[in-house]
Amino acid sequence: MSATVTYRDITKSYGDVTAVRGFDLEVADGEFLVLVGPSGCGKSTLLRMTAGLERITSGDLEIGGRRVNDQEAGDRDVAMVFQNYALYPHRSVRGNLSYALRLRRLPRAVVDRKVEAVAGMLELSDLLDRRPGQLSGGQAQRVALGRAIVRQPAVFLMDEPLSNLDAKLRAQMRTELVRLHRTVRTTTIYVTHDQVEAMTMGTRIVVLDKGELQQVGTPREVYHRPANLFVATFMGAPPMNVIDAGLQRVGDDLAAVTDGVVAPLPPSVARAVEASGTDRSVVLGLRPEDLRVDNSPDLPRPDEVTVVGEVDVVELLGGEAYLHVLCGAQRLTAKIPADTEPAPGERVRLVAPRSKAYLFDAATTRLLGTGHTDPVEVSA
Amino acid sequence: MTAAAPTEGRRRRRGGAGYTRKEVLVAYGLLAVPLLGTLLFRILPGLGSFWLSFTKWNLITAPEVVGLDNFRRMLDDPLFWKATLNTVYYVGVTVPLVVVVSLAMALLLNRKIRGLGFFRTVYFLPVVSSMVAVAVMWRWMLNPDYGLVNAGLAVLGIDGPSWLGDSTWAMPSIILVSVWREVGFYMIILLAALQGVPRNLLEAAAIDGAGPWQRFWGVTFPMISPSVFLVSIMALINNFQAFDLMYVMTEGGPQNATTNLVVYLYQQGFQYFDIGYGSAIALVLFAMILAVTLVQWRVGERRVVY
Amino acid sequence: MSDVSSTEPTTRPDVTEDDVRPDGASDAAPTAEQRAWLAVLESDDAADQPRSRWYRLSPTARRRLTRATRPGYYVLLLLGGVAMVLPFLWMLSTSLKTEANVFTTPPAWIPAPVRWQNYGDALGIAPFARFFLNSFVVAAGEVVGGLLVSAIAAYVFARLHFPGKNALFIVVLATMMVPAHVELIPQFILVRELGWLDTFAALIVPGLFWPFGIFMLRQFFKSVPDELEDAARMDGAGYLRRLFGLFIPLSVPALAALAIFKFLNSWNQLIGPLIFLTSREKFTITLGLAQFQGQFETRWALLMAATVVSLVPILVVFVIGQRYFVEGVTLSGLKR
Repeated sequence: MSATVTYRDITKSYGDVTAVRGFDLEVADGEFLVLVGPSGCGKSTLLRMTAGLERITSGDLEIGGRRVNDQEAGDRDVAMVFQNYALYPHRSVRGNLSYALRLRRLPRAVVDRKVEAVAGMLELSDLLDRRPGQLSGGQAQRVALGRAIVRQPAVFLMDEPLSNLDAKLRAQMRTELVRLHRTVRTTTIYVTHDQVEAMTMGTRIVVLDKGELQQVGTPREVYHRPANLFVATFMGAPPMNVIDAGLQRVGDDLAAVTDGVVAPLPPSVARAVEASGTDRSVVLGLRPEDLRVDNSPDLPRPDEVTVVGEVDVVELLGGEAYLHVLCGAQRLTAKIPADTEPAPGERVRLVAPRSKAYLFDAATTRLLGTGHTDPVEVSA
Repeated sequence: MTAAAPTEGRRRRRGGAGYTRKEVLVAYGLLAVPLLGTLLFRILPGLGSFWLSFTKWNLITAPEVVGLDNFRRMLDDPLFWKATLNTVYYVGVTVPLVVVVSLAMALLLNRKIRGLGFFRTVYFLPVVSSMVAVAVMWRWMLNPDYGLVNAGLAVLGIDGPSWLGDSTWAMPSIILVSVWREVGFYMIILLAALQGVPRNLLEAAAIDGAGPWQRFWGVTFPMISPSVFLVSIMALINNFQAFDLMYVMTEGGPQNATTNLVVYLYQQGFQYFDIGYGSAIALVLFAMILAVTLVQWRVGERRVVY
Repeated sequence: MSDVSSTEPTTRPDVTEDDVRPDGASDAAPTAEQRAWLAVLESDDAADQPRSRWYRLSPTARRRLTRATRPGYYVLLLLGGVAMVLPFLWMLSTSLKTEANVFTTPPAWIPAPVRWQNYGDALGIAPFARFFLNSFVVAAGEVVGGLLVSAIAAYVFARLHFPGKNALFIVVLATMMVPAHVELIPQFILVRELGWLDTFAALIVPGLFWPFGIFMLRQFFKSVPDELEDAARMDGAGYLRRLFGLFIPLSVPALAALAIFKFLNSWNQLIGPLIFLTSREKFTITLGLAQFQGQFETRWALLMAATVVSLVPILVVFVIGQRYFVEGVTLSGLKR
């Protein structure tokens, strides 16, 4: 039976090193929660603590409302899919799938039926008598999944299960996993370092860095309203452009300004910035896909961010191109349609709607505001 | 030697059986000594043993071919049968004991225990010591009146026997010393095997609900079975050929209680210089080793997991 | 003003299909087949039977059991270690006692007084210094010669191409299978014919032909990347130059392990010296100790001193080269 998972102030330290610090989260029943972050951020440690493979230094972990800190892995009613599958090499596929059930002394007929049901779900029915050594990567992965599904546990834990697959297979399996989750509807906690997987698979994403939770939210929230600079630059490829800027009053409006960059702030953002004090240094964020080339000789418009600079490198990617622009001391990247790109060395003017800009506090790196969720402005 | 790069390169590109004359000459030239030596000191003696077992020879007069006489003599020779029995007794007890104890020790050492290197050194001490030194050491340990073993037993109120002087206890004493000596060696091999068991596999089993005993039999043991198999075969072959301990500690006594086939072979061949008979015994020993190894191989192949 | 989604935990009671899964959301819907299988899976909801004996115990009982047995493991290990070392210590202790103190019941551990003289006396009963030298000569000969011969043969088998290579190698390997004692009597006769009886040659020469060494080194040489040898060849190095300039330097760890192995085998060997050596001055340390046991009669202290002396070189070599020993053992264990 699927269950909720609750983390309360979970901390894990190894002597002087703290791997996870003060982690709080409630995972809803049936959710597909993705833990994402760079290596060493503590996501695997969290997963292993949930499984019972690592001791929790402090804090409370609850599964289905029951505190499980002191329970052993075999008692917690969780199932795990490992990155390298960890299939029992000396057992057949059928043996691998049925092991946990046989440990529980379930009647033979019941075990057989469950194994066949899972094999059917994952298209493994023809492979039941094979050994893991005779399986391809994708097949082995499905057996690892099946081993978890057949137990009908409260929670699925997945530790980067797709990392060992080639790119094409990975894309296929992402869809497969999502489909399986919709079929089985068991709470799933999924660890990955790949933000594409996080964005496409999770109902909610948890971004972690250096053992601390940076942000939790739906993919849309995390992408369009990153809580801080780390989340903003981690999610999205190519990464968000990050520009140090100062605040300047332009008439009644506030703008973030630096060499070659003028970013008028939408009213909501301006109010947020003023509330926190206008003598701050800020960091301006612009996503490459929000920038477009506009070489008209007009003055900067008040509803647009304007960037002026010199083209440094152009990377052609078939239908798109990445434009790397030097702007004073800063470098920016813009993603533009191919065949419109200027040549290196040319002077170029990039614009973006002012609602697409992000403003971060330079000192705390937290998001001060963005116009992203404002109603779309009609350009004059 | 000067290089012959172009010729060799050409040969390789042709692939397959394109030999260069030069390389073949060099190969056989370099192999001359090793091959000759192996032929002379290994192969010839091996074949010679076979031939000699059909002769009667005392090294002084000329050898005399007597067909199967030596083997017929064996059948009626009570000492031969005693030696065979002793061999089977010794091997049958020592080998399982050695495998089990070294596996147990390896399991103990496999836990993350501080001082692993220290324990490894300590367990290896008997292995590097010469059998002779070990034999002398233990002769003193097993001394019925002043040895440490009986002194220890006396503390427990047991009156220990004359270990090496009693025909019932002589062989068990030898077995004990043998096991003491060999365990360290096999333990190292099994320890390496244990450390090669993927941690993920044991974690998966734990999550599946397997307790410690089940994890051992269900995961660990199957994963180390090739090494256990190897260790069993090595122990078997080595112990069939045990000689030093019996010779130095008891000289095959008391009353031939510790005479195994190798000791018997030595006595017949090098003390009585009955070359033919000695060779025949050697042959029988070889056949035994071969047969047992084959059987064990068959049994093992089926059960071992790769 | 919209609020910033921050680091506070958010509880979401529902998970709806509308949530962002932009990548092919439509074809990620469960198939009818899968739903059918799921139904089968969920229909058989048998109650969780009691599992292994381990899990039938309560968690507290389990914790108590684990905690109780943990010191037990240390105890067992320690006992094992003690059992291994005890005979050595006993030997050492005895070697320093006076003859009278040796025969006390119950036996004392600490010799009082300590009689270092025993060692001098022991060395007087039998020419142990000579024995050492002999052992050393034989061992050195076997190690250096054996490794040289094995390396050359291994190189030829690993890196050269010639007809009959595989057949010859199998023959060499087959000789490994034959137990040494089967070859003993004919070897003796051969040695006698060659006039090598009672010489070191009888011990060293047969030891040069060591199939195990050839086998091991061949594996090692085979694992050297072709490119390295090609580069050497293009630099103008011939066969022997490549062997000694490239392969051997690359195989130092394997050679070290094999050298120690061979040294150990040779130094500790009894039956070879027993059969081939007759004159006392030529005895190796193992043979010397074995044959001279009788000379010590009941002077156990002296005999123990002699034994200690015989062990010291090997133990010193072991302590220094311990790593190589262990490597050698694991090498031989894993390569089969």
